[in-house]
Parts: sequence; structure tokens; C-alpha cells
Amino acid sequence: MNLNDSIPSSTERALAIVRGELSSGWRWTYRIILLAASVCVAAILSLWTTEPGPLPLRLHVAFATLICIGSGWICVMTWILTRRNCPTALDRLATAWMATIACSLSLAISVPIALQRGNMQAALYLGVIGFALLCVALFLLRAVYRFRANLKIKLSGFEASTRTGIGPLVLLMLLGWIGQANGNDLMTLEKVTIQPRIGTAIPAESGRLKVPMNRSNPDGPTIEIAFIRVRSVAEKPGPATFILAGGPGDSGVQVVRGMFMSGDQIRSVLTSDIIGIDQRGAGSSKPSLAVTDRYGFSLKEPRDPEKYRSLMKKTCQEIALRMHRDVIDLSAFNTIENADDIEALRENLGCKRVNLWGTSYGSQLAIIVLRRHESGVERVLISSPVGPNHLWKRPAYIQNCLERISKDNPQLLRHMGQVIEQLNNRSVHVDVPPGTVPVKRAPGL
Amino acid sequence: MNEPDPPDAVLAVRCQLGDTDAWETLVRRWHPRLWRFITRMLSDRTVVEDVLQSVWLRVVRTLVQLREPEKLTAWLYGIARRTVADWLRKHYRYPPADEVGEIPDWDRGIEMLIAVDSVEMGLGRLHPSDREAVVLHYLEELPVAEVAEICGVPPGTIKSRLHRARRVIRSTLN
Repeated sequence: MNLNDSIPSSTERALAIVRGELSSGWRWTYRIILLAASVCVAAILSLWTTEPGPLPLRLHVAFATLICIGSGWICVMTWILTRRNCPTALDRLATAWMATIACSLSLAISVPIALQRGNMQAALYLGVIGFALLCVALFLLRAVYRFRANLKIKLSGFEASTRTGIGPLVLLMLLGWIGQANGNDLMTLEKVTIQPRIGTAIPAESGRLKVPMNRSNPDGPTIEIAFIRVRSVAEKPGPATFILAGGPGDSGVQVVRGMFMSGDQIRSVLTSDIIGIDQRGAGSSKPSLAVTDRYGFSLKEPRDPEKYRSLMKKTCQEIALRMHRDVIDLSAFNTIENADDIEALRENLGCKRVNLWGTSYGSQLAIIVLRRHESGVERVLISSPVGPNHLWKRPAYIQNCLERISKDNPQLLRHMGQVIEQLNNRSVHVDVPPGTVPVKRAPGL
Repeated sequence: MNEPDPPDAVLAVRCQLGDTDAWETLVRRWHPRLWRFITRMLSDRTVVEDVLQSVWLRVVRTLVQLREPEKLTAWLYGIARRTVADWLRKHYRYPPADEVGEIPDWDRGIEMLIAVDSVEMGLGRLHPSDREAVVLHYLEELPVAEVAEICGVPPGTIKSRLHRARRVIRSTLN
């Protein structure tokens, strides 16, 4: 007898079990029982507590029994729906919505009954209890939506990493083949000019280099790093200088363009080629991670850190989801990959060694390039330095730094406190109603 | 469904989101593997069906709690082996996993419905913990590290179980 003989029929039985568990008929029954029981309990409780006249004992017992039965149903249904019978995110969502509706209806029924009977105290108690339950339901609803959003982010992440399977591999092989015939297919260079405010245009080269989006997945999608090169006019130029902009997110290309805005003279003192780089995701590199989303923070309200944080978090989650959909692997937009891009550019430009000039985040990047690819670095110049792992500018971190510095200068913290106090004392509160100011765009801007 | 053959992790997340097509693909893909695993662990077809049904019930009720969908393989085999262990506990005294106790005679009193080849004859003489290591590593072709993850023991333990099992099987074949 073949071992696999009965697998198909067994599979059908398993499918039937799974379909049965997933079919939502029973769950909707449970949910409706939950809704009905909640509404009934709320109505009976409200009628019982606001009864104007004295009630005979047997009616008290009847009311209490009904409420116990209703509460029992609520507990059992809640247990079934949350613990045993909620196999997917969709089911969780339906249950959370039903709980929210049940709580809202209970509140909407119990409080008006109490108010109609003129029992303010009971209305208040029922309102507070109902509102608290509604808050719990809303909290659960929010948790379920978050759960679902996280699953979607995960899914798009997995799909992005599988989509990079065979297609790009073929493409890469093809590119490799063309590259053999055609020199360097990974990099393009074209002649451009930089027009200073005064004087003649300065010749430059604008380039793009293809690098893997995620080097742990070399067959995956590629991204483009944009750069600009201004050649030195010196007879024997030294190693080229890479300009690493800060941010992260600033454009090194724009920094270099800005350097030459005052005229061509600066080129005569250059002893090396200047190369401005738009780091991955920044400036004109592709894909661009620049976003125009707003946090939706009201300008009319005072800034509340908690509210601000939750709005920022929500906006960031939405952006992350959108980028995953666009097959952007956000985990690859980090300083390590960024540093490897710099190294790849050095190799592709055929520079034996380069100088790195990093400002702010660019200084951190320069240090990481030095750590990872020391042999390709001639000199490093850092301004407004930020050490590796020093980009979390949270208040507690700043406070720690200040306390460390104040060991040598014990007056520092006290002086800072005094300055802040003086500023607070001297500030004037102005109460002016907000107005509208028409703005006209100036010609040429 | 976008792709005809989505990877397990994608399938798992789609199931968690409530995609019924994904559930069907999951069952069709995984049922034969679980069937084979449980058949090799228990030998009796009527029991196998009961155990499999419990496995799928557990899977469908708890998949939504799986935090790392990329570990679906380990998670599914983990559920299968726990369900098998529960059944064994109910029907036999199940000695602690890392002791070599008396080898239980699985097939006594149970009608043998499946013709087994010589390796599977040898399986019947193995301690359950050695047996599952052999089934998962040699017959289901999972790497030792993954078998260790499924069984919740260090890889070294799996290696020593496999070594012991090979000795028993060799003596059976001789």
C-alpha cells in the first residue's frame, strides 16, 4: 500500500475543519448575543436603579437574576470571542467593533432612562460606568487596527523581498553582460555647468551610481546615488574630496553648488576635485525618501508632547506602509549601507584614496567610512561633529552631557537655570486674535 | 492571489489577516507534510486522523498569535509534535524526553494499516524523542538547527539523539 494513498481525502477533511473554524456564521451569532445581552443588562440596570417607588422583594430578586443571567452571557461570549474563536485580524476587528457598538448603545439607553426618571445620581453613575466601558472598547478597537496595520507592513516587507527574486537577477545578469561590452554600466556621468551669481559658468559633471538597495540581498533592487564633481584646475591635484552633507537628508550636491555660487575664483585655490554626494534617499538620489506629509498638529493648541508624539508616530507608520508598498526597504537606509555607497563611489570613480569632509551627520558618516574602508581614505575633516551613535538628541541625553561638562565647571547648570528663569520672567504674553494675511509669490521665485 | 506559490511567511501573514484563499493554500501545502510526520510518529491511521484534526484546530485558532511568520515551519511542526505528545501521554506513560527509558512497543494491539519500509520498521523501535529527531531531520529533511528549535532543545542534543537512533536502526536492519 502506498503511504500517500489517503492524503487527498485527509487534506479535504482538514480543509473542511479549517473552513468550518473560519466561517463567520457562529461568530456573528455570538457577537449579536453579546450586543443584545449588553443592551438588555444596561436597560434593566437603569430601570432597576431609578425605580421611583419601593419595589417588592420578589421584583428585586427578578431584576438581580436577569442582570446576572445577562452578565453571564456577556462574559461567556466575550471569552469565546476573544480567547477561542477569533482566528484572524478580520474577526478581531468585527468583534472589537461589535463591543464598541454594544458599549455605545448601552450608554445611549441607560443614561436617558435615568434622566427621564429624573434620577440625576443614577444617570451620573451609569454614565461614568458606560463611558469607562466605551473607553475600554475603543482602546481595544485601536489596538486591533494597529495589529492589522503591523501585519500589513510585515506582509509588504515579505512581498518586497520575494518580488526581488528571479526578475532582477536576470536583469542584473543582462546588465553585467552589457557592462562587459560597454565599460561601467553602473555609473553615468554627464557634463553640466554651475552658474554663479557673478561671472562665467563653471564646468562640472553630474553623475549617478547604481548600488544595491540592501547589500545583504545583492540580487535585490538597486538604487541610484546622485553626485556632482567639479574638477580642480591645479597642475597636480591631490586626492579628490567627498563632501558629506548633514541631516541625514541634506543634499551634498547642493552644498557643492552653493560653494561655487560666489564665483569661479574658488576653483583656482582647489587642490583637489570636489565631489558632492546626495546620500541614499536624499536630494536627487533615487528613490527619494523625502515626504510632504504633515503631522496634522493644530497651531491653535499649545504643544503637548504626548499628543505630538502619537501624531508623529501615526504619520510615520503611514509613511512606512506607503514606502513598503513602493518596494522601498527602509531597513537598508542606514549609515552602514550609506558608508558602503561612499566606498562604491570611490571605486567607480577610480580614486585610490579620497578626503572626506563631513558636517554634522556627515561627520558621523565619515567616521563610519573610515572604520569600514580605511584603506580608501586619505584624510578626514569633520565639522559640527556627531560621534557614531550620538544622533538621539533627547532631553535626557542633553542633560547627561551638560552634567558631564559641569563637572569641570560647577556653575554651568546653575547659570543655565538662571538664564531660562530670566527669559521666562521677561517674556510678555500678547493676546492678539489670529488674522489672515494675503501672501503673493514674488516674481522669479 | 497574486503569485501562484507565495512563500510560507507571506502565506502566514495573509492567513492572519483573514484571507481564506491563503488558508486553503496553507492547508494544501502543509497537510501532506504534517500527515507524513504524524504517520511516522504514530503509525495508526485512525489515530493519525484524530491527531491531525486536533493539529489543524490548534493551527487555525492560534496562528493569529504567531509573532514571527518566517518561522512558520518550526511553529507548525511544534504544534504537531505537541499534539502527538499529548496523545501519547494520554495513552502511554511518556518518559522524560532526555532519558532513555524502556522502549515502548507502539504497535502492540494496534492494527498495522500501513506497510512500512525498513527504516520505518526501525522507527517503531525508537524512543519518541529520538524518533521525532530522525523523522524531522532525515525524512522531512530539516536542518539540525531547525529540528532543535522545533523540539526546544540545543542542537547538540539533537545530534546525540540522531547518533543514538542511527545505532538502533542499524542494529534493526542487521
